[in-house]
Amino acid sequence: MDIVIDLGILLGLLALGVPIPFCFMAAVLYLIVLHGFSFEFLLPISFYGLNSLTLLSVPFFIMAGGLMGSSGIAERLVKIALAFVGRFRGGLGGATVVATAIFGAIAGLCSAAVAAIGSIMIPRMEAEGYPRGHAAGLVTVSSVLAQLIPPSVPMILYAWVSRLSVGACFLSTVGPGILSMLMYVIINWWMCRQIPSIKVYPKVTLRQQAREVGQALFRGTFALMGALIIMVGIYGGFTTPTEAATLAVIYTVLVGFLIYRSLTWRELGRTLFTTATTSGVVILMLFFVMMLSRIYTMLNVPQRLIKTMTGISENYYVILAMVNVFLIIIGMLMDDFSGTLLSAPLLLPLMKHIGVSPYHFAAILGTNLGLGNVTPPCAPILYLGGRMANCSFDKMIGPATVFMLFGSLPVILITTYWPDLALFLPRLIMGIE
Amino acid sequence: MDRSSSPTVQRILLPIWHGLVRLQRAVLILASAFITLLVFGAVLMRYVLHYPGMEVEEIATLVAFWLYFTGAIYGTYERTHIKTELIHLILRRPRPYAVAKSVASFISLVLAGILSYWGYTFFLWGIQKWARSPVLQLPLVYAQSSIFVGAVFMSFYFLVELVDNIRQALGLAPVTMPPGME
Repeated sequence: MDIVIDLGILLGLLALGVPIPFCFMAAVLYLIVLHGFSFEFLLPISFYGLNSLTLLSVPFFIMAGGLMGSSGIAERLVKIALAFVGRFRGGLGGATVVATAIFGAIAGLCSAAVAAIGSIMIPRMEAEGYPRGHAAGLVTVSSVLAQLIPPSVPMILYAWVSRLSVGACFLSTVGPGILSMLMYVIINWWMCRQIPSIKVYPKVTLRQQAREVGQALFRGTFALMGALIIMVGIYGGFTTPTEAATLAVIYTVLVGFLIYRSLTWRELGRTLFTTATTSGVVILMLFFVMMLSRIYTMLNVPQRLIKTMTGISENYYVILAMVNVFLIIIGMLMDDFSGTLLSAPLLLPLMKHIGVSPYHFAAILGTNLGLGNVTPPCAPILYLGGRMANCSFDKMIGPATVFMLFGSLPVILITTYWPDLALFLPRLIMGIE
Repeated sequence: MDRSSSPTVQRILLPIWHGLVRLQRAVLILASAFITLLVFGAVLMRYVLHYPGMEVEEIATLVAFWLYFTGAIYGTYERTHIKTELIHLILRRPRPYAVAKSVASFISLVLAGILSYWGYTFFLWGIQKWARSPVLQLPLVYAQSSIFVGAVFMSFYFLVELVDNIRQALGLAPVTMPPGME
């Protein structure tokens, strides 16, 4: 009962609009008062927890994402994607999806993808006959790819809270990410067939198409190199995720100043303090979640949860379905960072109990809470996309729902019930069992 | 600060307010740049000089505390902390909505106040124990103090937010800055 009241306090304050870190603090405070825990014991736990080099990758990946828009890298990535799929019906929409996925290979936040790709593609799609609601819905829903294609800030948080390999957690969402990308491209193509206002470019010969692709790849070489540096750095064993993130920041700044010449000192300063603010806000949340998860552990909450869930059903598939429903509800009520930090310590013991790999659970969590970013009432990315496109909620929710129902939801189910989709790459590259 | 505030109040308080914001931005920019260059330097040292560079990691994580907590303060100043806020779906009229926001600000203020107390106690404990980092023997209290400082400034900005929301709940104009001072 105490935990139900505790979660009630957490959700009640969330609904009231109290900043999420302080909602977690209130939940901690309630249990401290109720069970007589000492904050003098809990505060050092959070302090020594934050004193981590791995955690420093969070601000760096947020920084890299923020700088990609202003350094001209995002624009080159869009051109590459356009060269590949831009000439098909709905090609501009398809290119948006592909560009977001490539963008995700450097940045680890969907808000950065909406800001960088959305600011380039939404006006362009509108000019080429796409309804504004469709353009905004597509950009917001597909922005989740930025977090499924590694690096991913929520996966760093999950790995860190669960004491798992960051690299393997990154890899677990690659399969679901690629599948989501294909689904969104197909759904967009199908939807665009019903919209006559969309312009279609004249067909070109295969040779011309190959030349366009070659030119875009050549001009975007430096943009693609950023992703390569991160991947080779982490999976080649040359750097830790934090060092790879630092290299991504330095590389993005150098390319922005010296190669594409889009970055200015003023813009660099503005991006640094904006992204540092985002990092501070996320880390403060982590500070309180660490206390909460320690209290939950001391109160045997995960074990009590296992007992309750297995009391309803012992069936592996039913428990996974219940976990999915729980995560979708959590996603509707909070952002993906808070959702990850709350769900990981609560559900991971249950997952291990029924034989689910922690890396498979990483993918389940990533896909569910990624969708949570765009499912109202708490849909920060959907609202951000709407603001960027200057599009009202009612105009974009229809197309966004189509992408969610026929794109995101099937990917969640496939990820949940086909573990190999998530585990293939971690097994292949990292040797995870 | 209200536009109708007396010129004396504006002359004394506005520069302090504005200076604080500038200071936070400076800390955020400098800390971000410093940590980035430090970790980049550690990578170079490892590959070029074949030196492990553990000292660099220690300095980076200690400075990171100031980055995190200054970021949290700036988020409170900007009112950009992550929020869910579903209350606007029920309370659509401005006045009741402002009342609900005042309650949320009040709760945030109380919690930030409690965090300030916790941070202060932890700071005193840090001075008393004078724990040091393993390699460079840097006193950890430099990082521990960021929690206390962060909580105090967050409380301050929550107080300003509370005053602003109460004014709106009472039907008064929201707190605004004079032109050029936003």
